[in-house]
Amino acid sequence: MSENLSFLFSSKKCHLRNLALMSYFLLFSFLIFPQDTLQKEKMTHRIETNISITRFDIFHSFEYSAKVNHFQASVGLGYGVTRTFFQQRFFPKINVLGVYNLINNPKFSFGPSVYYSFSWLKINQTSKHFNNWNELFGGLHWEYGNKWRIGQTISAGYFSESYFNQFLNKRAKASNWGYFVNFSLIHEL
Amino acid sequence: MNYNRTIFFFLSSVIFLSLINSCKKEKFFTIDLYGHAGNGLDIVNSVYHDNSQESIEFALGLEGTTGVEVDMRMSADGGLWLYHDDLLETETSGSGCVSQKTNSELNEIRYNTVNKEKLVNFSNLPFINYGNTTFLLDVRHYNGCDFFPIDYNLFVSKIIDLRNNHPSIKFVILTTFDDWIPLFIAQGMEVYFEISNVANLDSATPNTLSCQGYIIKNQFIDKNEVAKIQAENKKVIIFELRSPKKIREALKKNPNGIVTDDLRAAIIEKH
Repeated sequence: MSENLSFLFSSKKCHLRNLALMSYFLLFSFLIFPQDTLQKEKMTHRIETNISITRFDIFHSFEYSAKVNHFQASVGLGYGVTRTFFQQRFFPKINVLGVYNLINNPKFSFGPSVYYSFSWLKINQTSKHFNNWNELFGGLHWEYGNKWRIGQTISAGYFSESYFNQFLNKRAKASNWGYFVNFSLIHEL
Repeated sequence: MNYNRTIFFFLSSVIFLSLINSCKKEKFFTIDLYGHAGNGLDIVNSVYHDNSQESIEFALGLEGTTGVEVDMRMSADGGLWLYHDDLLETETSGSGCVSQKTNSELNEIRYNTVNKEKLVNFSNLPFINYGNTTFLLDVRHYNGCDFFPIDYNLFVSKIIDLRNNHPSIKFVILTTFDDWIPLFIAQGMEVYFEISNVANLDSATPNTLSCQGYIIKNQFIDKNEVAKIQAENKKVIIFELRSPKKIREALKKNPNGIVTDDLRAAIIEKH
């Protein structure tokens, strides 16, 4: 293996990156080409509103989700409540969630989930730089209800914060474990 | 599927959120911001363990940070180490007190965290990378494990050596021990005395009155008291600030600086 490619396979980060890429392709192929892969299944479309607790803020988000048989996936746009409302600094976040429902009854579903989010925040208004966060978590998701449903996701994993380091004069990263507890109100369209 | 309803739902959300930033805010440009024990002590959004090199460098790197406060203790063989609690076993793989351990023993100790940060030998930090930043040194004059006193003169001389070796860095002393205030002031260092109540200043010793300023918890001082101290040509630093609400409350008192556990929130409030 050439030295140039060895970094892809040698570090702890590579597992995280590969997992992120796999999740990305799985989720988006499912969302964009559902008819190609799951032609005969009935797809239900839903809108959701969520409250999620993370290490950095409490987020409120609006999401669109689709469910086909055991699979469901959602994409959402949210904002950090503390930063946005109490500090008047808009803290947006985009996220995707994929779930494979091991229990898939009409009224109740439960299964493992993969969650990825990207959020960004301008901490210092006199600077042109943003801090941003990538989070990749694995966990469990359940839902209960009919047309109107409630749901919850509990996940843990790693986050990476990217920020402009004023002494190094370049972007730097800091990473650690994170968690994500989410409460959803879902409406089937 | 009702697409119009979905589109309306998303658009109204975006418009609503975009209006939020139009609120007018106070600005506190002249107030210095310091990270507590690096990037915060026991706070959930602190990425690294307090007083670790990673935490210090993360805090110093954030645009808008003036410096960091760190908790300094002296080892058995005169090394300057950063550690907050009295006992090593509360946060690390070690046991006992910093003052009982040698430098080589402390070198092996790690924090009990995912990142397993090392205990910091302060003299070994790469100060050359930190520009003209400020370190508030909360120097611990006591030995947390027994009554055997530490060597004050050695402790002071080690800090003076450090200051002399790194002229671009501003080292400021924070202490609750007024006996050694003159030792630091005689060496030209800036000293802040920690007070628990502004009323204590009425019965302050000459040593206490000779320091350049005071550091006090947010709950024990109001805006008028800050102004009164500043009128006597002393500076005020406020600490014990975790939530954005408390940070804003402290900034409105117009101190010379704040030591905060949430630097990101403090930078947002300042700017």
